[in-house]
Amino acid sequence: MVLSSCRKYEAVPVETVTQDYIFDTKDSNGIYASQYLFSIYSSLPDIAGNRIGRDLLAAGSDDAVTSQSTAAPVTLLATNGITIFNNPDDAWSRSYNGIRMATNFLNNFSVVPLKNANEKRSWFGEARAMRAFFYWELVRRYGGVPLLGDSLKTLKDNIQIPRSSFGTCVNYIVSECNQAIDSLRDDPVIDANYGRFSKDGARALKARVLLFAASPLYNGGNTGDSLNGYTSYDANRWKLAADAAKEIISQDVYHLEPNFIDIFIIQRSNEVIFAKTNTLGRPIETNNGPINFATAPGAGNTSPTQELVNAFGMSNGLEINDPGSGYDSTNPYANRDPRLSYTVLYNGAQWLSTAIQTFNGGINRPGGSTVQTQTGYYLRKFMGDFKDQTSYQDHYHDAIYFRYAEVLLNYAEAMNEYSGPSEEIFTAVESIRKRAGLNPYTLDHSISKDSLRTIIHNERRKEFAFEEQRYWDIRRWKIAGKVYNSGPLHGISITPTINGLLYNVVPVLQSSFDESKMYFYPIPNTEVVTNAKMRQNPGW
Amino acid sequence: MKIYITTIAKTYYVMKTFLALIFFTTCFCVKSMAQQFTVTGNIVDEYGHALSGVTVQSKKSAATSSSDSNGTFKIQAQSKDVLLFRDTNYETTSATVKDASTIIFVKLIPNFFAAPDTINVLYETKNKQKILGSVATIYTNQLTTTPAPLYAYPLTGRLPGLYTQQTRGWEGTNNSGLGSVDVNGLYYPNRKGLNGPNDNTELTLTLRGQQPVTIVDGVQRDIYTIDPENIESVSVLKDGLSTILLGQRSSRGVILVTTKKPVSGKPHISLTAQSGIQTPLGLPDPLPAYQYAYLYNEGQYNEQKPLSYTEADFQAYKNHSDIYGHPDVNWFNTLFKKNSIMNRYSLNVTGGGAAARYTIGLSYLDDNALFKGSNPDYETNATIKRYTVNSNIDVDVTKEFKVKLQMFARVQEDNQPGAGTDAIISQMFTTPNNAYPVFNPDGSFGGTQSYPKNLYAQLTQSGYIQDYERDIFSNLEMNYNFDRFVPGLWAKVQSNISVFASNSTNRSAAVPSFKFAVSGSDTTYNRYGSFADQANAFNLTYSAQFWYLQSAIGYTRSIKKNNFTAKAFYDRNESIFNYDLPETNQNLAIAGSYDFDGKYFAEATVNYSGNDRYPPGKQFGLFYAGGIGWNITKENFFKNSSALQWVNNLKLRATYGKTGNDNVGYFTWRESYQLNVVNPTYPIGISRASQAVTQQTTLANPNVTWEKGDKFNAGIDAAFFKNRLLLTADFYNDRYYDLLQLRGKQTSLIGIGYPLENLGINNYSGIELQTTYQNNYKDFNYALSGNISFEKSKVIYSDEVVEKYPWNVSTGQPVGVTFGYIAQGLIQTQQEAETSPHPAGYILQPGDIKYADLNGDGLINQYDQTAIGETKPLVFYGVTGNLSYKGFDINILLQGVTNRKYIMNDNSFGSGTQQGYSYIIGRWTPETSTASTFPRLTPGINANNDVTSTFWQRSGNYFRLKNAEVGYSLPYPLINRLHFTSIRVFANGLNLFTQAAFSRVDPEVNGYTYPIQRVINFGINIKF
Repeated sequence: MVLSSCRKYEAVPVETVTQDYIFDTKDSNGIYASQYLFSIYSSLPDIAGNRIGRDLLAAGSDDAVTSQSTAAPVTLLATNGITIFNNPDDAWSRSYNGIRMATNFLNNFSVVPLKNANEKRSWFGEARAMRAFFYWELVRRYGGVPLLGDSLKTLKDNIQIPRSSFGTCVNYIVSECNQAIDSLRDDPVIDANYGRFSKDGARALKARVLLFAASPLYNGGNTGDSLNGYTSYDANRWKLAADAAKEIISQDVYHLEPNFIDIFIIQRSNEVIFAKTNTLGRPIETNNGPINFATAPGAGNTSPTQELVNAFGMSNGLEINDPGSGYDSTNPYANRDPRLSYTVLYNGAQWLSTAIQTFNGGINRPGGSTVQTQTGYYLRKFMGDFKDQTSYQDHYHDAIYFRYAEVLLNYAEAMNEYSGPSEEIFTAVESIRKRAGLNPYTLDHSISKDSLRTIIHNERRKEFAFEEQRYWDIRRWKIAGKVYNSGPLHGISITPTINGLLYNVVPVLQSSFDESKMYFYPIPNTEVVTNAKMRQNPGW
Repeated sequence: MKIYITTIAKTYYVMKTFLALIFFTTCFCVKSMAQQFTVTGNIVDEYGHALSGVTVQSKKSAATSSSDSNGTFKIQAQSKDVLLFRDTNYETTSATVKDASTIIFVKLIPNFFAAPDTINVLYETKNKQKILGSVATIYTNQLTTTPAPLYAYPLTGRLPGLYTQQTRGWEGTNNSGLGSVDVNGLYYPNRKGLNGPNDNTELTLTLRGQQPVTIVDGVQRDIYTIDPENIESVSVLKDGLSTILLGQRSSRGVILVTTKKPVSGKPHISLTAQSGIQTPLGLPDPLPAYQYAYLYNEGQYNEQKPLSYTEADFQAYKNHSDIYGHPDVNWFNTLFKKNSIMNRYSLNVTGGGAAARYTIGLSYLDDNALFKGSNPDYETNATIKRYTVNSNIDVDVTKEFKVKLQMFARVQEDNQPGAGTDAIISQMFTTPNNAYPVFNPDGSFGGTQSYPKNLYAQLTQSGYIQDYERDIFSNLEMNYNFDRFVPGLWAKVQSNISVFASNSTNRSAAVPSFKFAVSGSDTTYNRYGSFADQANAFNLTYSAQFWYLQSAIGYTRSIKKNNFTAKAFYDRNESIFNYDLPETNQNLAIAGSYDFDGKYFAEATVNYSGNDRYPPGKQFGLFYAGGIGWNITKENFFKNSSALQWVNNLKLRATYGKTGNDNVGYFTWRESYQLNVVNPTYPIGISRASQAVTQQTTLANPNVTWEKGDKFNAGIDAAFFKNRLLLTADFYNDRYYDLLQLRGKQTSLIGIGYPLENLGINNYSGIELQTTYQNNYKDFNYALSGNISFEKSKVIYSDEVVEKYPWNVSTGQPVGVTFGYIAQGLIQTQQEAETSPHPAGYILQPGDIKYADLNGDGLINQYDQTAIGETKPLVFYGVTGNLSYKGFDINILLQGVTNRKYIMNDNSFGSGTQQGYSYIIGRWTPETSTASTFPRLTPGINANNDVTSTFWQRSGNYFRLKNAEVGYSLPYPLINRLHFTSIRVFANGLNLFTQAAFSRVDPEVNGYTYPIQRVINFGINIKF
């Protein structure tokens, strides 16, 4: 008994992975460093998922509402419900967590003797681009934020750092992107590297950041506080944004995917510039698919609004309120922009070779206490192109951050603002409309700058529905007050009668937006009270 | 008291009849009356061992005598005389003398409240007089009357300072397997740094506010499954001096369990068989389907949502005309039996000679849960089958050298439905009556998309999960007495090896359910849920090894009236849990004590104690404690005062200890990386090839150290009236500091989680009183013991975030007090709704809860939260009474808690569950307005109403008839002829009656867990 205790053990658990393992000075393959790099990737926001409560961010915009009870977190975003204590889309700590990881990687990776020098340069570039991405996540939510540079703080440090101005942050992100572009891999990357930041990925990030910086909210349109934007308007910012987008277009590497639906479900689309790759699965379908499909059960969490449905014009390219559009309010889904049927499931739409029934009492809107559509629509986008219930199976659901269509529309928007309509702009916009299947897809080339802006804005809404664009677009365009406060959001109530279906537009959610403060998220309260130099955003 | 009086009255009546008889007989038999003769007899204890020194008194002749070492006595008595047998440690009993030829056999049973001179304390037994700290002890008698699967149950209400809460009525099991992921040669164990195994999942025990260390026969092990009949005593050690030998674990106080020691003599056997009927307490009252549907509609209406049910639906639910389309299933009636049975058997043998003695205790528990339903192929009910063996062998190798060997072993087999007991119970609470029918017309299980798992199917068709637990605990103790060489010198070595292992076999299966629908003449069955064949997974769920070595050398010396003891002590406790590195605690201590003539006492211990989980070089610390005592009754002025002779003992005592608590975690001072637990892999490339994801854990705290305590205790022990009335009172003030907590000034800018740091300071103080009175009137014995504890805690320092308002601050409040909103009733009018403060983004309506807007900003948020929990000191108490007369005995435990709050969390619809209970009928409606007891109904979680507030808070005070027992022992002379020493039949009960301030639920249980139970138990004990 006494002897048995004399067994020797190591003093510390050597199997526990420490910093020396991660940045191993002997590993010419950098295996553990690579695992650490992937942990930074895995911290990128999963915008292809129901990441807010069980909802898509779009349910916090005017594109959708949640089907769940009104207390679902995402509803707070659409009803003035966020506070300094509670913000369902808070990105503060997770972004700074990503920033720390990237900085740790950048500071220490050099000791790893990776054999391939180009690879090593690219890994640095990836970490740097991701760090810029995390800062971008912060800046578009909170305005200027504290920039930590390359320092890694420890327990002993006094971390009282003030916020940098919006302009400084934008400059920092752009310069980090530029630095990353130098060392990142050329496009297109080989298949095995799909899902990693490439040169064009960093360029697309830069283009988007510059587009935001040029947009009305930040470009002299805010309260005059340098933390939340530039204090004066400068038209040249549109030029910078347009140039950044043009840089990608002129590379001529990425092209529009011929078939709209394929972008979101095929293994690798030629349109995707940078995406967070996901394993095969069907989380979108199970979370948002219509209810009461026995072998393909969906929870029906997302209810697209009538406002979104109305944004889709007719397949002839005209808006539904255009007198010549041919829109028939008793058969409202006929001859619409083909993207509509790829974006929402409406009554009568085909899903798993079955016609969806979202009329009152229909199979997919039965009433009772089950969670079901609140608007008469279900989400369709991102979901597989299933022929029937037996073909219902897993496919790819990447979180696509940047795709070529956005670059084109970014360019079109920035260029139109900078210099007014031009052929290059029409070419860009028309290519999107052409791919969408509009016939005719061409625009009247004599329209004004304002008309073209309206077309571009609406094109973005349709093209990028549920891709976490609209929610930010209405903010940067500074129209969120108008959008949220102009009456309730609507759904459709369809009553079967002997004379056919009766369509009634009904209110579903009274949205609201306090323009005096809601354009920027509040800095989480704990960050303000623990950091004397932290300034809260105006109004909070 | 009433019983007492009636008994006296009865006795009086018997006496009267008896006197009349005597008078009658005197007339005729005058001669025989005066005749005296010698009666002989034999006095034994429960096991038939001879009892010496028992006083025997004849009633008629007034002669007295006492028994000799063989237990025999001789006394002059008369015919029809009554003999009384008295001994301070035993209950007084009587025997009737018939004539001169009578040989009297008497068995004495111990006092209900044993009060031996020596008490089991940490690592030794000590004379009661010399204890300076705060120790409370109960003995076998108080443990065996409670019909329960763990000996933790009978502790409730019996030990001052020990607060218990039973949080569930059935054990919780752990079925998830241990494992480790191997990624590219790096190992990532999935459950590192677990706490040690603990077989008590039902009761939380706190001793003076701290979680106590459990010590079984000198060894730290959380074993609560020892058969109570096998336990000699359970003590709680509450002050710093009593626990200081635990060094880095001395802060927490100790529950000290000592199993029965062998008694020499011919083998004596005690056999107990008992069977209990368990009835659940505090089950909720679900709404019938039609009421549920109606109220759900009301909720929808309130939220301006389309109504879910039609008038036809209500009718169908109400008259049960369509049980498939409109089911109405009360899940509690469907899945729960009214009662369940628990059987227990135990066998204890003890005996031996002068050189070696032994005990063997065997016990078997067969406990069954309440689940109905069965499967022809396997057991579906949750069951526990437990076998324990405890044996002690004491060998006196020589006069000086004594060896003790103890083995305890436990084998336990648990069964539960494959879906899991806890999962089924929580679904029973949350599934509405109208969710789905149990069966469809074709016999398949009913279900819907929202409820794809049919509860009855989960109970009967989901396979089963079995758990096996094995505990082996072996103690070897050697004592050597060096009196031959140096008088008073002794040495002790104790070694313990114990192992625990548990594993589970998961043979669970899944059966789909079907939604039955009729449209026209067409019937459809839509399948929900998945098929899964019965699994067969074997999991190792826990494995622990403990190794303990203790060695001590001591010296005891008396010079005239000066008594000294000194002790050098070393122990080493090594425990290995699963794949963790061993954790080693070591204590190197010196202890000394002095007393002068049993009058003045002083004692001190210094302990250099270490734990190897701390950073190298920072593992050891110094802990110390001391105490003083003064026995006033030993003073001459006291001894000589005839007026004070009724005071038998009056001792003042005080201790102080600087103690420690080593909740160190698993190498938290080392910075480390680990596999991302949530997303262990990242898919990259078009093949989405899995790449491992390694991330940094929280920041390391290289300065982490043990928590510390300054513990002061002062007490008084008193005995009055020939030691019949005992009184103990204690006051304590414990200041705990360097408590691990997260710092308040955390900024997310650092980009990583903060570690626990030694920051907090809490204070616990309180008063504990205990009194016992034991006496007899002739052979009518009675005893009463009561205890009450007052416990007050306060956060002295907590590194809080800078709080804007004073009412947000938790420093200065009781430790762990609940924070929430102050409710001001329900909003009654639209105007009130519009003007009342509300949470951001929420539009108030009449029927919503109105909250106090403490900072007056018109919004309800964190700034308006304040301490709403109980801020007065916690009070808990227990009273035990015992009566015995001529073989009959009865005892009762009343127990209660005051100054306690209960927060309801079963708010129907609102708290996310879809079920509704009858209490929501009191919801707000315009008609009921001010009489409403529940806010307006809304479907799903309501951001305003479903938050912690005083609206949901109730008094948690309660008072229980916790335990009662009646027993009858067959007359000894009768059973002695059959070679038994005792046959006793008894009935006892647990949780017999509860008076709670808030009675809708059981006051101890919160949440959707297995209900606690009332147990009525019958049994027989045979000794021979």
